[in-house]
Amino acid sequence: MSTPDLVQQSRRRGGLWLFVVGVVVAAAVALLATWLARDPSASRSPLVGRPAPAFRLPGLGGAPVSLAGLRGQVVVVNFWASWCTECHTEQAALNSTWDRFRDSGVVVLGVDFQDSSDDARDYLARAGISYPTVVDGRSRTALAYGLRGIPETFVIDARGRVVDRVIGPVDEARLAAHITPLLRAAT
Amino acid sequence: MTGHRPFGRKPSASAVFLVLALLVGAVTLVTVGLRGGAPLTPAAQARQIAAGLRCPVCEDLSAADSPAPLAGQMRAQIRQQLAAGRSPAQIRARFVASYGDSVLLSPPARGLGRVAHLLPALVLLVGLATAVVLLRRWRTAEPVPTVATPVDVRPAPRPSRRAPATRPRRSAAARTAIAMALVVPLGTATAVLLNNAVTPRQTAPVAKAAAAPGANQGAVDAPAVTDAQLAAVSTGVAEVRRHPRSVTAHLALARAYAAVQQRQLSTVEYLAAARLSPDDAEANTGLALAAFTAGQPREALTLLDRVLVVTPRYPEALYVRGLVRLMGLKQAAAAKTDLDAYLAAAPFGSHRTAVQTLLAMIPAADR
Repeated sequence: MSTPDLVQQSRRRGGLWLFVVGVVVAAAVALLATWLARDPSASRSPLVGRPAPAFRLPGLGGAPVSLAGLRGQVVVVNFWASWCTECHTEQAALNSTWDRFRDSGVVVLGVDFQDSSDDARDYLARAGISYPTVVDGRSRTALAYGLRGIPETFVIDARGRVVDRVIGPVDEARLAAHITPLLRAAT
Repeated sequence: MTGHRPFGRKPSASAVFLVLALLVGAVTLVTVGLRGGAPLTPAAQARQIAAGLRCPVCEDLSAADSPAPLAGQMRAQIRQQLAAGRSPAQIRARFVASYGDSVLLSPPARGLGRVAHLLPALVLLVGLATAVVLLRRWRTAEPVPTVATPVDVRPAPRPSRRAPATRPRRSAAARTAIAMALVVPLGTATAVLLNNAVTPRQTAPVAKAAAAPGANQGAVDAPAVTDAQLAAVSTGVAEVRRHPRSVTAHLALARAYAAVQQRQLSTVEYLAAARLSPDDAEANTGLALAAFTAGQPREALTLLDRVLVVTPRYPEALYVRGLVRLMGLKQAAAAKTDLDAYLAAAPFGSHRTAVQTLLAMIPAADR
């Protein structure tokens, strides 16, 4: 084989080799960058479809409430605080959902998160909240539910399984769309 | 004649870099090996676990570094669980069960995350393979001074790095493409890492201090009850006109009419819903209540019995049947059974006070 042929062959092999290396490194870096750049809040809750974490929490001016005691009911667990402006936005939807379904086997349960008791009680009175509300003093329940911020709402079926999680303010239509079939299934 | 040198030439910059890289790798391995031997105190172990977990309310800080109260609770839980004898893997698994893999600051060693764990080994292999290829190429290039001829008595020119006689040179376009293939993804990854490091996005709990007291209260206080109820009627009427065969629309309008004390109109809508869906529990219970208030308790009971055969724990039907039996049919014992069942089925129901009053009205002899 002549020298120019050898040179050409060597050039071709070297170029191919570097191309393969480039592609492998680029693919690996792209995967890593995708992992690092993803938005964690957009991920689906791993709790959906699984048993809801159990809790028993003191009531805000009422009796303690345990999730086990609500077995057989569809439970809407709403994490909120008096200082959370977005919680104010969703309050009308929660109140009307409660008014509509409270005698159909649904319990809306407010979980007060990192709040002062006085502020929370004041908010309950001003917002006309009549559904039961409990206090998550050490945020254990919040951590067990994978809370990423407030407001956050979980819909739990009559068997105690998490059906949906809503990050941010809920709307009445979304809640009703989940609750109605669960009530049919429960009966 | 030049003196003997390995590979027959002065070591190139690539060879120097290769040796330096091997030295750095060896020093790193020794350092890591020495550090790995020291046992961690519980506090250091807790910090190490927290440093590998993402603070969920600030996204780009670890639970160890974040000042957010929820991150503080995470650190407290980690300490408690370590004290309870749980292993770091078990503790991490508990957080993953609640938050998913995204709570981990480094990708998990499974699924797509395995790629990131294999990356260092992959890069090492690729580097070694590249080194082998380069060494082989240098060796083959060594004895071929192709520019020298037999009549040329001058020493063969030393192969220059810039213009080797036998080393193939790539075209400028190929070199640019290779450089781009390496530099662009690396640059992107660096930019992403830097962006994540310097611009943490904060969510509601961290913004607590910024929330002005009483801000955005209008949504809570604004709608007067009567206005809201009237609005519900208007919406309900519009929905029924738009979807005349929708059971949901008729039921919503029936509830809206009932809320503004328009009982007859409410009954008409319940009737429409029951015609469209004969077994609908809410429609039949609404009709039963209408029948009872119109002085027809037996018709009401028939409707309610039918509802409760299909849906035995439907709280509204249990309440109305208890009411019908107690007040309309004077069947105190049967009424008590229904009312007790209502209390069990609706722990926070709207009729609880009324039911307790009704139960108190039942004479002890009839209980």
